[in-house]
Amino acid sequence: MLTEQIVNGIVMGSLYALIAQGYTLVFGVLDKLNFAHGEIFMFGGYVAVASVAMGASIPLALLLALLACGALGLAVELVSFRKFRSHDAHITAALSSFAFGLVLLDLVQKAWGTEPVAIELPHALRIASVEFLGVRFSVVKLAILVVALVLMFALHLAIARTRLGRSIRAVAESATSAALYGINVTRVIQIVFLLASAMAGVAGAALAIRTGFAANEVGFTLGLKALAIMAIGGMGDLRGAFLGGLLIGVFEALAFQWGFGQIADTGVWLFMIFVLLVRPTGLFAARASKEARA
Amino acid sequence: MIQDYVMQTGINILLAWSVYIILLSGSLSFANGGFMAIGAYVSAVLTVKFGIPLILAAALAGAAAFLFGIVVAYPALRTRGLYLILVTVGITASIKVMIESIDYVGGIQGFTGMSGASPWHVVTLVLVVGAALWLISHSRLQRMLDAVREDELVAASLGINVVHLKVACFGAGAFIAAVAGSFYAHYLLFVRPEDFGILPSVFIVLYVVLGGMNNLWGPPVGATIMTLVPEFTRGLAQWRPTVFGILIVLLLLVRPDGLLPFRVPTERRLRNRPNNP
Amino acid sequence: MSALLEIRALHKQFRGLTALDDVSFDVAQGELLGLIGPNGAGKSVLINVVSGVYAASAGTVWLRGTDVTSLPTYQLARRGIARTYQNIRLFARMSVLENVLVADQRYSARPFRTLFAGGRREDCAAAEVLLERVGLAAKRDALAGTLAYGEARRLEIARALAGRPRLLFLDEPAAGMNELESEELAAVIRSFRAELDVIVLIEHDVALIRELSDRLVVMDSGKVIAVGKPAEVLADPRVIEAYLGAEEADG
Repeated sequence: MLTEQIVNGIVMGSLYALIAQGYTLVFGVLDKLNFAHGEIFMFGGYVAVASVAMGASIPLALLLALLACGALGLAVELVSFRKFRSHDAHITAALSSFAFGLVLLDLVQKAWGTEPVAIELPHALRIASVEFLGVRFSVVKLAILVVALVLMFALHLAIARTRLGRSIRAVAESATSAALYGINVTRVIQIVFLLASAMAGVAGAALAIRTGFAANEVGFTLGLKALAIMAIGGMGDLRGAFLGGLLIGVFEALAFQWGFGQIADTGVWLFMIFVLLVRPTGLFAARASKEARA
Repeated sequence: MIQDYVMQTGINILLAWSVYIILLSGSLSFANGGFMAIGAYVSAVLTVKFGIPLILAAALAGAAAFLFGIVVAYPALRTRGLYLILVTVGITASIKVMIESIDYVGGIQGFTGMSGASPWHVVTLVLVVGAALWLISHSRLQRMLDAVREDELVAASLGINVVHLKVACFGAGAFIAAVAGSFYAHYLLFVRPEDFGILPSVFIVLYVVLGGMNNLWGPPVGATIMTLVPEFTRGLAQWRPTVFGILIVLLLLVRPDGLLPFRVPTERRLRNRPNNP
Repeated sequence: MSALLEIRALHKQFRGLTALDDVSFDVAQGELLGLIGPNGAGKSVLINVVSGVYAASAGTVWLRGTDVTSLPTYQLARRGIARTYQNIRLFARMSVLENVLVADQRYSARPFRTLFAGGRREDCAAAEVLLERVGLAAKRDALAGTLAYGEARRLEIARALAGRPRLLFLDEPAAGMNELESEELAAVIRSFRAELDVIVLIEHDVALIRELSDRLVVMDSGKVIAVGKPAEVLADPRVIEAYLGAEEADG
């Protein structure tokens, strides 16, 4: 039982991590919070529902969620961030993106209603499981875990090894000097939003597949929790967001197992406040974040 | 019907001012939805379970929120900018979940039995708070707050106790939000924790940002427009959140500093002197 | 008689970087002390520590025989320490007059009791006298952010003086000024000397510092390398070397 709960926690944690990566990616490059991110994650679930209803396979549904949410990310950047790039505008950008999220949420409710929408999965897939070390694991959960880990590892490689990654890091360090080196800052920021939102979309689709339905409140509940996780891991710190996601996922699963799930919810926020006050660079950080340095 | 408009607008103006007061010292608070919840629940318990009159209960609820605000402000105000936004979001989220887990006040189901709030209460409060803010806006205190907002470090080097001012503003904002929350609860007759989550906190901040955060008239203008415009777009009633969201996005693009962005100087020009550009 | 301001074995470290290394010197009543040294010598850090912006890593600052090392900035201000900033820091969105008025410490000590206090006309009149003395009376209603560079420097001095301080620290007040502007500034500083117990002046303009200072303290790499009369100190081979060395490193 305990092992199963821990595995559940890791699976959920990997989804948190996937969403938190998006928050932290945008924060790292722009020093701004994208409050539409949670709703984009929510939308990913509905894209998956619609795709599967139209006969798409699960991998195709994930891909479509990735593409659709990536495109939404570009829209958010254009509407809520392009004009508010100065440091003083971080509140304006946060509120504008929040309003963008509200519109998205309302449109989803108009299209699919306010009740959760079930996703039609083949029965065989739903019950498929493998046994490992005497414990049975659901294939769907394991597949989600693998997809999330692969995506995050790919992101890590892209940032660490590629020319694009170098540009992203340069813009994160200083947009002004990156522009002097001939980097197209706007293009880099667009790509960051594309990547962040695409990953949130996959997370949303994966959640819908795991739970069997898409629900419109997850942007507010899980999406915001991922924001807290991002802060716990250290704002702008990809590795911290990853570790923070897993940590909170497992913590919640264990709290649920031991019967204090309600408290776990507050726990995440209180923990975030604690981390921001005591260790603003994040729980796992070795280096200081930008704002803490200034 | 008209009573409802007055009530809603008045409460939203009070809430907008509660954020504005905190903003006077340069901190943006998303915790005011949480302070409002404290006010609503504390006053509701006092009137329903202890039979205390509404006005006194509202004042006590305000005092409770004031104390709570001051206690959390000391650590919270060590953070700045987006970090402070996250901390205040966290405060609101924590308060909401905590209330959900308290069975004494009905938990997630909500709490009922309150009554007795009339628009006159709220109108009076708006006038009182407005008068106080107007008094401050022309005072030396406003000047000190402006200095803190512009540059905390320099303000301190001029002898201003920055922490003291910021904490006081935070407490005052919590007080007003809680009093507004008290009347809100006794007007709606029924409250649930989800009425006070992050969404309302963000809306209050939106009133202030859309109205303009540099003078005391911006928040009520923003609150009034944002409360009444959706009410009068009945034709679009079904699409209200979408219209609302698009309106916000467009307004921020067109007037990022709000509808009334100017700052009122604390010392007017003397008439016998030529004006400078 | 003991010195008015005594700095004793002051250290300041930033993440392993030593900015102040065992700095000690005294400033006497009525003195105008010049503080010079190459860029990065620690002059501004010293002012920041003494005025409470940074906490000292070790050492003590004595003011009139009281240890003020760990007092917060606003309390140091209330004990009479005022300062200007190397990179001008005015309240840009407030008017010139307001910048001066806000520095009046009779009110900042009890902000909430000032709401009904009278005397605003007198305050304005006093602030205008101060503005007159630094040559900014005509600009009183302009926003501080719109001032020209030299005007902004002088407004900062007026703001610092509006709190009626006893000690004034000026951090490169003549930086970026032409000769005429520096001379005006020197006149302004001289005109205020009698009203202050101590002025500490950080400056690169050697002519200005030689003209104004009673005594010089020279710093290099966080250490005090020379103290004495301007003429003697400026002829000191170690001081010359510190400056020349710095210039070579710069070039």
